[in-house]
Amino acid sequence: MITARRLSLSFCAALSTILMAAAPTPPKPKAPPAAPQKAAVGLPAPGFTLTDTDGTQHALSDYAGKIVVLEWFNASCPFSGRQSGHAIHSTGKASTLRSQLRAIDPTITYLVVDSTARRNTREQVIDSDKKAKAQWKIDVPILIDYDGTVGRAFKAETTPHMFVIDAAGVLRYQGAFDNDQQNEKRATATNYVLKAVQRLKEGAQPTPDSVPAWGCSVKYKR
Amino acid sequence: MRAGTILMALASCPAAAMEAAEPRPHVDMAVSAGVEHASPGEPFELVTTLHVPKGSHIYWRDPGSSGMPTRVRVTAPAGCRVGPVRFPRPVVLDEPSGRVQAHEGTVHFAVAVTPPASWPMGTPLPLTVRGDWLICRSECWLGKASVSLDVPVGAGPTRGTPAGAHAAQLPPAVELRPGTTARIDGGELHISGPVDAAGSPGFLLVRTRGLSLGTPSIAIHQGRFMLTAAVAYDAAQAEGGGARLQGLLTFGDSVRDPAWAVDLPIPQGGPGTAPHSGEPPT
Repeated sequence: MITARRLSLSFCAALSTILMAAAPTPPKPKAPPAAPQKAAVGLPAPGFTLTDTDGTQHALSDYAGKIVVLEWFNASCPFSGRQSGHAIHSTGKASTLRSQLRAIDPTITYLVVDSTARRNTREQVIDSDKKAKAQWKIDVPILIDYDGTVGRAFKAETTPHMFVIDAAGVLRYQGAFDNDQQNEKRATATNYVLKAVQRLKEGAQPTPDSVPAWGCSVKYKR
Repeated sequence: MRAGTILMALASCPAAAMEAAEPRPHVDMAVSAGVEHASPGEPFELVTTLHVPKGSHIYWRDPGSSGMPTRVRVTAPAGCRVGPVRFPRPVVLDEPSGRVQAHEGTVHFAVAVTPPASWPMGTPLPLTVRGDWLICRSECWLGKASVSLDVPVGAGPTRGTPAGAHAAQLPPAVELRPGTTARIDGGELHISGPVDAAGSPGFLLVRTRGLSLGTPSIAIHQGRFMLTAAVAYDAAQAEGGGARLQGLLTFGDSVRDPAWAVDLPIPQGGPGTAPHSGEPPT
């Protein structure tokens, strides 16, 4: 019986090989290089599909051919979504950046990602993000990464933590929003995301391509 | 010594969003001189103390993967010299998003202040200290406070205060550690000296843009240790300013174990080759 089953499996495998070899070869689509499990500058960004606060799904692959900016977010972090003199949303720094990016390239996609889970249910996170979105006039989707899979794949450590992905899907910048965590330099601050996108539009690589991110730790589910 | 009046001015951060917001931890700040009276032209320690409630933490000068460096800024009359802030040894905490360097409990910071040599005897020296911190538990809050005090100025010898004793506990310069040397040579950081009964030596780097340090290797032989780590400096990634390698030489694992401050200039033209091991610069 065992022998017969083995013979049958061998026959099926051989037949399948013959059939595959005989079948006409379809034209190979130009596949992007395989994405690594963990993000690294210079390598394809990890793919993802997440649902936003309105229930719409967004896959990174939906934005192929466009520059994508990701911003890690937490509605209760005083550098991110909470009202404070240091928060990139309540101070208007994030909306200014989005305007500047659109002026450089109207097709740029800016996505906010929230991996917050600690002490909150998924519904509470969505609810607080909706409120923050309305309060700070965040005119881009906030994607919910409640289990933290995408945040961990990108190695997002802080809110905010910024990532710039080029039109070919390669991660080109990761790190700080700007060099003004205390919001003291204001007009003289360097926004690294803007700088990175400007360099990409010039056909050059961002310099710097990595800057230690600042902000609250991402409150991943423990 | 006269303790400063505590003027708590907590940052106004109304919890705008989270439904399940937890109560904000309260931090008290106090400032004291390390001597009973200061003398014109003579440095003394000004000690700022933050009382961090249990279960919360604030951050070291390099917070690690997240957080915000605690800041202590001293405003002094013209002609005063104000030194850099000296931080205590931090505790290393593993957060789900990465490793952070933090302070818990009662935390003392010291700044050396030197009144002008021409300061009139008997006239108190007015000083104001502004503290800024990020305090985190399962959520984070910004906090700040401003404390003003008048330090008596007199002649003759002065006595130390409890605050002065706290300042003396902060990590001194590694050059003051007997038999110990620290240098950057051939693209590597080398620190050597006698071992300490508190435990193994280690190094906590104050990260600077463009500077990366490989994982230290430690060799111990005949009661002496040699800590070696590859140093790389990429001026293109840096953001101006003189390139220095700063950090703490530590022994043991506890914040109460010995630590020594390391501050070395990075040789012109960079220290040498890239690190052979360790995390890449982020």
